[in-house]
Amino acid sequence: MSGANGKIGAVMVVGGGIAGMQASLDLAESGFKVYLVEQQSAIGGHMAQLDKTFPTNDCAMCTISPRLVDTASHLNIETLTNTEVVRVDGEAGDFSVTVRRKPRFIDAKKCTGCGDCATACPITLPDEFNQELSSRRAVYKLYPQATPNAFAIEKRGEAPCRNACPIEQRAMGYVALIREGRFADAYRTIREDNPFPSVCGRVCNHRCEEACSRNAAGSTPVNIMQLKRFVADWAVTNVNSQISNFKEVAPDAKKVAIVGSGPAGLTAAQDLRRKGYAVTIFEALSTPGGMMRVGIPAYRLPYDLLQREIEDILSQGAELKLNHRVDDVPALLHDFDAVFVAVGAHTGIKLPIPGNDLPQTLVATDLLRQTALGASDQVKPLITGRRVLVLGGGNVAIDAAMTAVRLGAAWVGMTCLESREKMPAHDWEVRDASEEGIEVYPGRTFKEVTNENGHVTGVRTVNVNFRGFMEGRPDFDEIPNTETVISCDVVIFAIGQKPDLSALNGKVETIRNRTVAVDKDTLATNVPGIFAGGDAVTGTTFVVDAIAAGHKAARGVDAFLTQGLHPHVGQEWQVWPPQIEAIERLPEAKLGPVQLQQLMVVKSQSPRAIPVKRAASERKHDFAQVEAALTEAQAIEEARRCLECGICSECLQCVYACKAGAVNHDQREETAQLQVGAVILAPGFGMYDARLSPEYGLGRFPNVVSSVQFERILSPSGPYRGHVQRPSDGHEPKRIAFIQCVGSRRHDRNWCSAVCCMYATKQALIAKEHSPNLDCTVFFIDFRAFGKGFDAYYDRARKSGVRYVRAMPSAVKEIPGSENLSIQYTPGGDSITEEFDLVVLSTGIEPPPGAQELARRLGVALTPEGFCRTSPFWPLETSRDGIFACGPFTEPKDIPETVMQASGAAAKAMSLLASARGTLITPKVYPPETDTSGQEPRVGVFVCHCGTNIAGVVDVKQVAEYARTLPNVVHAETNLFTCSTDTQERIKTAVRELGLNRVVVASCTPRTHENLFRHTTREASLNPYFFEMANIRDQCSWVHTHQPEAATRKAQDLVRMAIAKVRLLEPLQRSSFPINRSALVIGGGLSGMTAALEIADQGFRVYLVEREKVLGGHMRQIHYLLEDTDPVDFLRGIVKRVQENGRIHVITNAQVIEFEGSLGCFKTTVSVNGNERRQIEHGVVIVATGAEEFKPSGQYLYGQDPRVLTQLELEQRLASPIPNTQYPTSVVMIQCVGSRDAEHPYCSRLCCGQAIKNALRIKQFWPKTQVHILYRDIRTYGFLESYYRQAREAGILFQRFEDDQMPAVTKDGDRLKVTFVDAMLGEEMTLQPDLLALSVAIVPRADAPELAKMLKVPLTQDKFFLEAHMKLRPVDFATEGIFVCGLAHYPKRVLREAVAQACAAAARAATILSKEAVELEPILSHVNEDKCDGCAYCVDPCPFKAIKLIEYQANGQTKKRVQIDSSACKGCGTCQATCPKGAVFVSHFKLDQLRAMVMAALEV
Amino acid sequence: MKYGYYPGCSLKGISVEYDLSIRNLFQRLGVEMEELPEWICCGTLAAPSTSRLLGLATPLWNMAQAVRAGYEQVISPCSACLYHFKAAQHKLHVEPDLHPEVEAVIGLPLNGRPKVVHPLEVLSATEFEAVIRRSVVQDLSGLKAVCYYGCHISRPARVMQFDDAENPQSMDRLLRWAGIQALDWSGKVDCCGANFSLIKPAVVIDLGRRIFEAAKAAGAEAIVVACPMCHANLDTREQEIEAKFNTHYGMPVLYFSQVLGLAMGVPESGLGFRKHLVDPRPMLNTKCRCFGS
Repeated sequence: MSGANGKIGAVMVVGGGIAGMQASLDLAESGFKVYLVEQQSAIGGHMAQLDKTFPTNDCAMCTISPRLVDTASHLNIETLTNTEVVRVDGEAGDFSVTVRRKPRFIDAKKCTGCGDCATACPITLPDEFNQELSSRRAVYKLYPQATPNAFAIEKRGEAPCRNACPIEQRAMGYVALIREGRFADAYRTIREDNPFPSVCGRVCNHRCEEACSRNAAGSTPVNIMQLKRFVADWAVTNVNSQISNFKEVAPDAKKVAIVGSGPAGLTAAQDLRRKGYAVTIFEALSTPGGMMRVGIPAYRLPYDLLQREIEDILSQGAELKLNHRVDDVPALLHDFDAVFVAVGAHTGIKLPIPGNDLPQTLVATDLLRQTALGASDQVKPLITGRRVLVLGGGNVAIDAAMTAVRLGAAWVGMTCLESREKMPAHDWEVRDASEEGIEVYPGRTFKEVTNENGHVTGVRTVNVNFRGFMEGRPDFDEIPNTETVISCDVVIFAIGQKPDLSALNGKVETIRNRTVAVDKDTLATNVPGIFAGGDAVTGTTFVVDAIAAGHKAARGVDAFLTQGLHPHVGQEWQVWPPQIEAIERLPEAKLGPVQLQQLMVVKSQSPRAIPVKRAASERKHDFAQVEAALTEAQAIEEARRCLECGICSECLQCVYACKAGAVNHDQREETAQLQVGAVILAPGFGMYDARLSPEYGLGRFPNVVSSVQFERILSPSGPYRGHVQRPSDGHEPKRIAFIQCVGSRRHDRNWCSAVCCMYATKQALIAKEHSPNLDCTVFFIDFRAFGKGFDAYYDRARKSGVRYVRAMPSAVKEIPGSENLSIQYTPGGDSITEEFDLVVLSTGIEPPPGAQELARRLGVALTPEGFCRTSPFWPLETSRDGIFACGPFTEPKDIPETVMQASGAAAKAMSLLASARGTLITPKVYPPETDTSGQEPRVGVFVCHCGTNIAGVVDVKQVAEYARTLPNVVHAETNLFTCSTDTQERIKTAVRELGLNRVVVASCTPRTHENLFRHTTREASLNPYFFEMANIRDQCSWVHTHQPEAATRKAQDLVRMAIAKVRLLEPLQRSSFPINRSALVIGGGLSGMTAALEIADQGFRVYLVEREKVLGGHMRQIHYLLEDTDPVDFLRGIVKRVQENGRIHVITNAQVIEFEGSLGCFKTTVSVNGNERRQIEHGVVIVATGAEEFKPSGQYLYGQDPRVLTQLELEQRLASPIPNTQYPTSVVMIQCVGSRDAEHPYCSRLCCGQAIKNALRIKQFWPKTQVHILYRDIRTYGFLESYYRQAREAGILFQRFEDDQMPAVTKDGDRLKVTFVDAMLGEEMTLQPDLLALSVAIVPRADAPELAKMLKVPLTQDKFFLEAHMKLRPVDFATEGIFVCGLAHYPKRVLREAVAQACAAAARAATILSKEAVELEPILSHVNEDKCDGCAYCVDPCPFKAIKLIEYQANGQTKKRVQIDSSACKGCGTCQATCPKGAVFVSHFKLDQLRAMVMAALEV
Repeated sequence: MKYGYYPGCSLKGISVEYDLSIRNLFQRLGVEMEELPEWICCGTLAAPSTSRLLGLATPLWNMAQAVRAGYEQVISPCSACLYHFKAAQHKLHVEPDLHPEVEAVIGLPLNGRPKVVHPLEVLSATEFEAVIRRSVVQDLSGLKAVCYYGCHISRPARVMQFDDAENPQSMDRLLRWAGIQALDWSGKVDCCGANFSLIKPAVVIDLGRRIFEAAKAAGAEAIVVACPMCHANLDTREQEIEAKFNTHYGMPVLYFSQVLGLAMGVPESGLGFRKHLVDPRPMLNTKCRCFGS
């Protein structure tokens, strides 16, 4: 596992945003295994939410999606989504990281991202990705391009209703489906757990409703039982029986006997049949159903409904033997492999009191059974016209009493031990009974059934104080002198029932001969093979408990029959039951009071739906149903009351919908240990929740949105598909206000978020692009455009009409009616009120959510504000060795700096683990390629359904049939998902068995899937370039949704074109060349030295070329910092490390004079000491040549008066002043000298911080000195803001002047005189300082253009080096192998920023140096030398400068032709398009190949 | 727990209907309170602007009385009094050295720190929801009102420590519990002009107009307040504003205690509607027919 020195060659990256992806890719590319841990279900982070990025206005999604694909498909990056770090043990180089992986409930490997599940899902939630401006389903993909391209299911836990149910009925599931009007689906969901919906929809004790969260919210529960009944009734007329489940009984199937056809027996029968067993049910009565049939009166449960459900079960193949009483259960084991005893408890009990044997005494079960079996002739005469008294207070007693009413009793009464409140029957049942005229005498004990001449005359009772049952016996005191006789003619005992266990023959253990003793998990009895459940085990209870027992028994029997007996010791009864592996249940989704309140507000306010009952006077005469079902409208309204506690309702519709079989609701949380050498933290940032600034009305006024919301509004993939509109009414806004610094630059949030000024400007610009007449106003304090290209962008916005107002509105008010917003602000003296249609709050950046917890788990320190603590010298190191940090977690920053830090952190990890590089990576190995030369093309075509994505529109079968008719096609088939793992195997098999030598896939886009299919082709021993793809989804089914026939024709066209091309394809080979594994670093300042050290520490040789005699550059002039640390000492240490490092060759007093070669093999000539030439060979170059301080000679008396200094010069003086000596009484500083003007239109970025640093230094030594800083905008971004505040608190005076009113410096006699117009006061002011410090610009080195020309890399207009991509490739040049860092790139803080960028350049360099050789993509431009006549049309258009014109001798003549540098060529094909001779061509896109496609397209 | 009750001068003068309705409402809800013995002026603006020490002494004298009488909490219905009490307590808390000085002036020990609360703070507590919902006997669901909090109930937030300073909710919540439609609007915490009523009435008239306009635009039929100063500046100036801007609002300005009392069946005599310059009874009559014509 570990490499040299016990180090581990793997790194964990925490956070899958742009920083995490960059760090992962750099590490993986340079030989390290990466675990990329992301909390959410997809990587991409915040950048995926953005519309465009500043200052280039590139589409954010287009820029990162290649990164997403690269990251996801990299062999050595293992992406762990839904995962969090729990703890980190060990030490730098050898950590053991514990991670917790939350269930996604979808197998990401099987999921194809087709979205069928989301279509099926009934749960709608606010979409956080769209900032709750739209909704999504509980099964969702974070965003359309999410990576991994797989859905995930959001669950809060098991809904309380399901949790409370003995059979875990998915109540929330079918309720949600009813709400959607999907009754058939709801029925299916119910049937999943419950074969008796009609029964449980009527007679259940619905513990689900007791558990319903609405109770906790002070409301009434959802009427779940009635909803179930509604669906069950609906199904009677609308759903055919479920015979589709029928499964043939295999001849060798094991046999199970079930004794009793009640709910337990029938449920077990169904389950066991589905598992393939042969099932025989023995029923003693003439009809099946057990107590459901003979215990529940018809007015509660109509027999035909029950019969229908029983038939559904039987139709699955169980054999039912009626009128078949089993007398010897153990004997059944001769003929059966297992027996399930579910005989119920049908024997009624009579109290042992005198008179209980009189002929007019009945037990309730007999009465009910005989009535139910239509044998009422036997009991009816006994009841009709008589006075009937029921003894008992439970549900059965009520049933008996009501049955007596219906049989025509003259009077019916009930008496029981319990008080009225404590009667076991439901309260509503007792009330129903009263309505039917049944009189209740509670709280009595029965002494005797009195008689006269053997005819019952009444029951003698005594009032009692009943306290409950103690060990099964009633506990009460009789109340003296309360004896009465309740007169009646008939007595019905309804005091309990017991099972008839005689058939067990005494062999099966029982509890006091009343119930069967069983193992609670398997329902196994002591006799191997005999199981028991239902009332026979529990005593009389509810139907749902019996169904639960049936399920459990089926599992127990199955475990027994598959696993056999467990070895048992002696006769110890408990040891032998088989083990059932239970799926861990999800924790119950309990809603907290706050969540409950929130949900109660947004969910339906309707009262609980109550079904209509027939009037007592009417219903008491017959056995027709008492209660009507809910109407459809009532049911839907009632279903809307569900609070959806579980989020996912577990209705399983996604499971049914998923054709790839990827959904798995049984996934559970997992914990894993990973061994890594280093950890990089890139958890990103949080956005300030502007609802905490209620004065701006976010969350209260619909047309006030946060900046991220507005980003989504602008985005084409956002909630309004890129149409800029107001959330309240969908109208296009005409006036938008942006309010800056919401949640930034406050006393309690003492930092600047660094990005808001720019993103607001971008949003204003983009919004104006959407509708040019839009008015955009940005309210701001200081405009902070401090980055590369930012000020130009700011100017562009102003020129485009974006209005900038320097004022901070204190509140936003909504204007009733229009829902417009009014903003009052005070730009100067007067207050102005303006109306806007939409207000965007530029919310600030804050530490990422969960940062505290993350830091605690990892043991890294945070700043008091909650960001990761780093130091100016070590900006990427956390307080724990081996754990690095990058991105806004360390300080608010923009994307390029985040990417720089990410690469930088990767470099740090690489240096730490250099000795273990390459130890844990997996190289890809392919089988040898088959030689197909000379063979006729044999094409195989694979047409993808893409679930319903393609097949829903295009007739894919027809496309495949058509393909078969085309020349050279020997095979064509369709696949549900051609990208699935099993289809890859099919393709390989087809190639092998059918001798295919060309593969065509007609599916989605090559952008995401071409590589996959090329791999498959290669694994099938074919050259990977014998593959071609037809995009019949993005370019066909998606865009022609409503024209299926035309789309099918177009798909055929596309396939025909692909086949035409594939026939002509040629095998291509990747070439490679070795790399010189050493680096040249140009510039020996802090950046250059840092880069050199990082590369050397990774084991590569470095040549460090410095123009001066000594190392250190600009850094030598820095004597102190804002932070309390010593930069001089630090620099000394760095120089020493460089000089002592054996791998670094320092060449001072040297200048680059010649440069040639390309990636991996550069040759550079330097002149040393002005005369000596020296050639260096190296594989990569890092440009770290720095920049210079602008010398404002002749301006502001600089150079003319010794009291006028630059800030660096002032710093020199302040480096070691003598306190309390002669001090200046007044110092003035002027900002922006030489910056943001016509000559240098950019911001020099570091001068504000520098001025504050020097000003604070002055105040520190001489507190009485007055310091004025004259400025335009104070640009103290990020944490610098706290020093700005500190400076103001120290009494430093900041005075602003307008952009075009630079202060004037003159001399008044001997005194310096600074005159300026204070923008705040609007008055001219004069200051007479003792010292004037000029905050001068940073300007590029004068020789930068020359070096750029030599290296063939571009410069910006301002003459700083221009990177390959402003956002995502901030240290790379477009030319591979050359990198830039430090001030040569743009002004930046030397510490923190330049150091991080230098590390980044080192990491990027290492991705090349770590390889032995560079592999070249074979799709490249080539020259047919015979045809080329050197016209050079192709040379200039080449975007990669890969083509040059050369002269050569032929036949004594000098001729010209072009030559292509394969290492620079990207195969874009521009040259091919320019060549008039057809001499330049790109392999794989040769003219004849393209021509064949065109001809094929035109053919039909 | 029995609350101490500090009516302050307003409730004994211009706002007797506030005093009356508060007492009746609390009685109806079973909240016990007793007027503080020997209470004196809270100091209002005059005391602190005369002398820093006097500005502390007047409110803290009242607090010392409350401690002596054994009250842990004191109800102060006037926002200004409330502010002066809390501010003095806060001042003493952050500058404990002031203790002996103040004690010397008031001649009473400053032990204990009774919690001073606005009646809204007492009633809007979660545990009162059920009590209030239960006590409603009069259906006022037809009444559309906006709640106007003014400044001092929740500001400065650091001192007052009650409700949201920018978007207070306590009164809205109470009204909703009582079945009244409390409309959201943007004027909740706008300034009523306060003491400018005396020195620069034009300011108050202008600010008052904005509040009436906002309430009207929101669709309100009444403004409900919780401060005598707010009430005075709105109710007494309404006709003046109407005259000056040639408009008509006819919008009653009610104390929350009056509307709640009404919902809970406190008779008209216990609510003091006749004290208002803009008579609310005709409007309320259209909602509940609770007054004789």
